[in-house]
Amino acid sequence: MKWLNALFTLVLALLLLKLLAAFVDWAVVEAVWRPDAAACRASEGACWGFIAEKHRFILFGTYPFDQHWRPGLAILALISLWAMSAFRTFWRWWLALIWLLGLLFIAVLMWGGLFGLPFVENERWGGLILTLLLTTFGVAVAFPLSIFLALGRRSELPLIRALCIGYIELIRGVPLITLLFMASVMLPLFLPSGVSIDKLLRAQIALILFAAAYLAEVVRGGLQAIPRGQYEAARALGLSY
Amino acid sequence: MALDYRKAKGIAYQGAALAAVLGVAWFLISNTVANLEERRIASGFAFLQREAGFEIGESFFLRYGAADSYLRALTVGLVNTLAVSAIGIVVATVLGTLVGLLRLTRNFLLRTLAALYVEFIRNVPLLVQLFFWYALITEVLPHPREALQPLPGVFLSNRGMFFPSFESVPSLQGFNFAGGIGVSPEFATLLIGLGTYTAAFIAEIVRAGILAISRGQVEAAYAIGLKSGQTTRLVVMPQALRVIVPPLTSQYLNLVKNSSLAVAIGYPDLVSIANTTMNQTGQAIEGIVTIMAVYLTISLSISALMNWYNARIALR
Repeated sequence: MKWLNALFTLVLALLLLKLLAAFVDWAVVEAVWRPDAAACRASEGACWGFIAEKHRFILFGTYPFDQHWRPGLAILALISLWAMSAFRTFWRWWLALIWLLGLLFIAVLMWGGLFGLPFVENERWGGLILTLLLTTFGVAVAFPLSIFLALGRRSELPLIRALCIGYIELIRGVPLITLLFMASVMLPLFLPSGVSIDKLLRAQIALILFAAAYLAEVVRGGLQAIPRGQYEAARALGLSY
Repeated sequence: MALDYRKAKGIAYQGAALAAVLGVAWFLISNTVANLEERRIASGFAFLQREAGFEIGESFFLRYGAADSYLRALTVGLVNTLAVSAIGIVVATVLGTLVGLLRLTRNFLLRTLAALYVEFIRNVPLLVQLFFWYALITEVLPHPREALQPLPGVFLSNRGMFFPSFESVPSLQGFNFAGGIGVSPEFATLLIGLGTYTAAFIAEIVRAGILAISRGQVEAAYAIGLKSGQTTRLVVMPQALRVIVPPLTSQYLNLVKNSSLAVAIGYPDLVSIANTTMNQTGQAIEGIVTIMAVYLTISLSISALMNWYNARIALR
């Protein structure tokens, strides 16, 4: 069987090389690197010039063109905050302070209105900074909520348990796009007439509710993995809930 | 007494929670009623009998025209969703099992390819993958006049893919093919995208299940004379299935819910048609409730079916 294996590997390797050659041909050799629409149409290869042409739109959305340095700086600030939080050496009490100041800095940068920066409403935010902000706030708010949900699901109080189970199963049973529709379409109906919630906030709330339900199940799995003996020992020591 | 105090605290917490939930519910409902009245939107499902007035690109078994009711339109959407989900589950399971087994083979090239597949597909968002497949199918495939023909009777074009059926063979008529089984670009995109995406997750689940079986079982099987294929089929897979089935259920549910992304590529699934209905009639709440009820029913049915299967293969 060994020679069959070897033959098969050889044939597969040849096929892969052919595929790789074709891909390299499309991506590098025949590609057009300059943002030239006519050249792109004429060539058979990739049109990377499109990225050169559109990269500002992809990164920053409809943010005013001459103010692009602001979301750019905000992206760098947010990524530095993440990077800093990834290392144990920075896990001190003042990391919270740095996060607060960093988020304040990003808020002032993005919205403007202070220090001579022109105001940019958040309907015009877009691109990478929006993704990063939605992720950051989504995870930051959803995680504590998920812990409460997981604890509530394991609670001995029947009403709390029922509410948590109902919430988790409802949110996990429907697609995310439905929740986003619900947030953008139904939320205006739920609020008193005249009160309207910012569109970005609606999407953020939907993402938080969604993430909280899924994270709650992960936390519940972790809580279930703890041997009962630990809980009983804690009770014996007199620790409260 | 300590026990009574705990009970009293429990009742107090639950009372507070109930009051909070009821309070919020009353607030939301009274606002909703007031808003609906203000916008003169009727409540209730009476709008389902009204004429829909929009066409649907494709419908799996049912006949539909613009003069049919909204109820019929939603039913078409439901059948479309179920069709793509069912076929997607089959494709994903087969492909996922194959890739999962490939990750465990001794052949270095196959193992690496399978690992690259899994790592790449799992880390790219599904929506991006759907856009990729849609762009590939609609822009790279040629016109029906110059359709690719990999096998006799099979035609691939950017207006759809056509396969021969038992009754007829597809042939070019005017601008498109007729006869045979036709698959629209949107359906093909959704099937390929969902299938490959979920297959990557299923591959990891299958691999985890197989690795969970101790090596001693495999060695004992070899010791009594079973060959490699027989060992996998008779000793490893039955035990691995017990580890595989619960997370597999999760992935099937994810596939069904991810099929709602069809609205982004123009496949007329339930969410897409309900969205159109909501935009036309303004009955947002009934529409959302319908979507959620349908998806919950599908999810609970799949869960129930898989739990029955799980109980069947459990240790006696």
